[in-house]
Amino acid sequence: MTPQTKRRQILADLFWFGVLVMSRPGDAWGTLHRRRPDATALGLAGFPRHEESACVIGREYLRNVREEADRDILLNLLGHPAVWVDEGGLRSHLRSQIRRDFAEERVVRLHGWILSVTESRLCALTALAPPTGHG
Amino acid sequence: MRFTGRLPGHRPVPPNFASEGGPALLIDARTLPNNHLLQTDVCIIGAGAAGIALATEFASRPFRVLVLESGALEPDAETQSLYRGTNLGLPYFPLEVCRLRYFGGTTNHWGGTCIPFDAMDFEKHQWIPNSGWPFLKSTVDPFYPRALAFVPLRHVEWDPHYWAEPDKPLLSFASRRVTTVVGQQAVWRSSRFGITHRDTVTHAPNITVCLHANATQFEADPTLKRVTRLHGASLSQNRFAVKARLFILAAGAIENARLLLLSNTRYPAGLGNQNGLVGRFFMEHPIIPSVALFKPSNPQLPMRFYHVHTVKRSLINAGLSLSQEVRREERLTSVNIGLETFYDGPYERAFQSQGLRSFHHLLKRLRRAQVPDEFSKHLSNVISDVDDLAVAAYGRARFGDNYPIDRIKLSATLDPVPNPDSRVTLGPQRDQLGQRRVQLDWRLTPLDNQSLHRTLEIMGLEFGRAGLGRLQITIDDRVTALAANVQAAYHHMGTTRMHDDPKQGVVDKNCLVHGLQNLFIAGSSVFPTAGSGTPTVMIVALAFRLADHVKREMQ
Repeated sequence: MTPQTKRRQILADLFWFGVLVMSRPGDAWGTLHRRRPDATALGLAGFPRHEESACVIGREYLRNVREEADRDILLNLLGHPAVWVDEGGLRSHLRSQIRRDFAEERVVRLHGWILSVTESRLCALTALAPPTGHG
Repeated sequence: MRFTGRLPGHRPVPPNFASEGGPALLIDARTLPNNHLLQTDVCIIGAGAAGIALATEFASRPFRVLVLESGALEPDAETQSLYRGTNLGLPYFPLEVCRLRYFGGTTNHWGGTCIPFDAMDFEKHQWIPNSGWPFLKSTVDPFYPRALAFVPLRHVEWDPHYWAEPDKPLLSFASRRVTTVVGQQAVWRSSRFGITHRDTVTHAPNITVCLHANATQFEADPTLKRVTRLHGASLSQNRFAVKARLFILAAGAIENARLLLLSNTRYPAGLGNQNGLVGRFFMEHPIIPSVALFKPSNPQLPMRFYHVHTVKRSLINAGLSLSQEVRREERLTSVNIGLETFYDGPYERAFQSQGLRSFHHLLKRLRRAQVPDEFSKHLSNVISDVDDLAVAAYGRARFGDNYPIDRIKLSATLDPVPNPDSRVTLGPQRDQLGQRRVQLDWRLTPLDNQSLHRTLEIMGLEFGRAGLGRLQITIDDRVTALAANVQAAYHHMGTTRMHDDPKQGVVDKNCLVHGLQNLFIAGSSVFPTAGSGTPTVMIVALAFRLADHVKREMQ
């Protein structure tokens, strides 16, 4: 692994914490310094962990659902902030929402991926966020 | 009654053909006098899967049987070239490559995979045009155990739980919408019917096998009710004819149609083709090698059940399919999904390395106290790839058999929609015998593509629902993408389909050509649908069913 790809991988792994930063800066910054997220961050294994891929998927989602092309709307749709007590709470909230999406067949096909609506909205959120500038 | 002594051209048994059952009755059509007439009770045209299965059933029965085979006991290029034809439709193999024209027929290169048809394959479905057989699966079921023993398979069990083992579990889904489908491999080499069943056929006192005998045209009586004789020729250009009480055409789905179409002396459209159906509804099992990628949530997801492996002395493989309930609900055709695992980079590289293969080869030989062949070559491979061996050993020590998975590639095999525009016709070119060669125009329908994509979407949903991971469909959903990526399985079916109504099928449910009293057809050309299983066992089961019918008729 070259230093550059290693750096890219770390940044990609940290990407999901970027989502947390955008959502609840205080909580997420705290956890970011406590430990590094693993490959199954947010329980979204198999889900594109690379920011670019998430953006591509997110942009396609937003092309199809234009009315959600707003960060605040997406955050609201992802769940009420009250449940986002900390990183663990957020994770658990998103996981159960994703499980519920699959159980209730709220899935979409984006760039071939069969994703839950919650996952797609997370990608959309990523697509709306300012670029991290790494690479 | 037998032909021995009366027939010119009777050859002694070739040295490699000796057996304890007495002399084989083999004649060579090339040595028959020109315009010779052979007389028999039952004439089987073709010694492939269907023809041989029928012949074994007729062995030692109180009627005479003549089996005509275009080739010999071994392949030869000139005979094989009779199969050449033109392809007009979807990309397809050269027609002289995808089937074999010698004793044993296409079983001589059969891979041996057996997957049974399911009940839905036989039913008429409103959403699948031209679906349905003239009988249900229960009609064929009694013949299945005999067919499985003939192929042969060691087990008659298809329930995946029977095959699962603690270290090779089935994938666990949250619902029963996705099921595991098991394929069994026929016992190695026994699946070459021309070898395994040769003695039974050629040593039966009532059976004569005529090699190098090409059927060229059926001749019917003026009322077109009975086939009066079959004309044939060898590549030495000597002509002969066969007179029989019953004829059974078992030359494979492409040649069956071709021979009927060529039999156009009295009826220009061809024999049995009064409704223009002969050659139509050609089906193959379309295979799309790469349709999706599955990224498991747990990189160590146990997937070994879905790799080719040995259980209870049988080689099996497994795939996934939607349950019959879902297919009904969603109005889909059947799609079988194959799974190919790719491990994390260094492990995948190690598994692909020559060194690891050589290491396994050496180990296997040494365990059996045998001297490995090409020892120095294998040793050199091991030394060159010692780093890959180290990676594999490290992986095994750390992960046991469940190496971390990078991705799983999904392939798909479709049960195609019967399509009248997918067809075999006669082309302008002629073979060495002056017979018109075939043109194949293989086509699929939009429903085939739609079923593939909807199946993948549902699989993706169920993978997610079960927490197994996420699926990415990698094949474009346009029909053109399906056409561009499709491969085939050497399964030719449907060109003389079975239907109770002569306007919808060439043969009736007893495989008798509509309108004729003594011409039957055997083999997968009578399949009205291609089915979700593989054809060989069904070909044999139907041949046994037809054999029982013929035995009754001959009494």
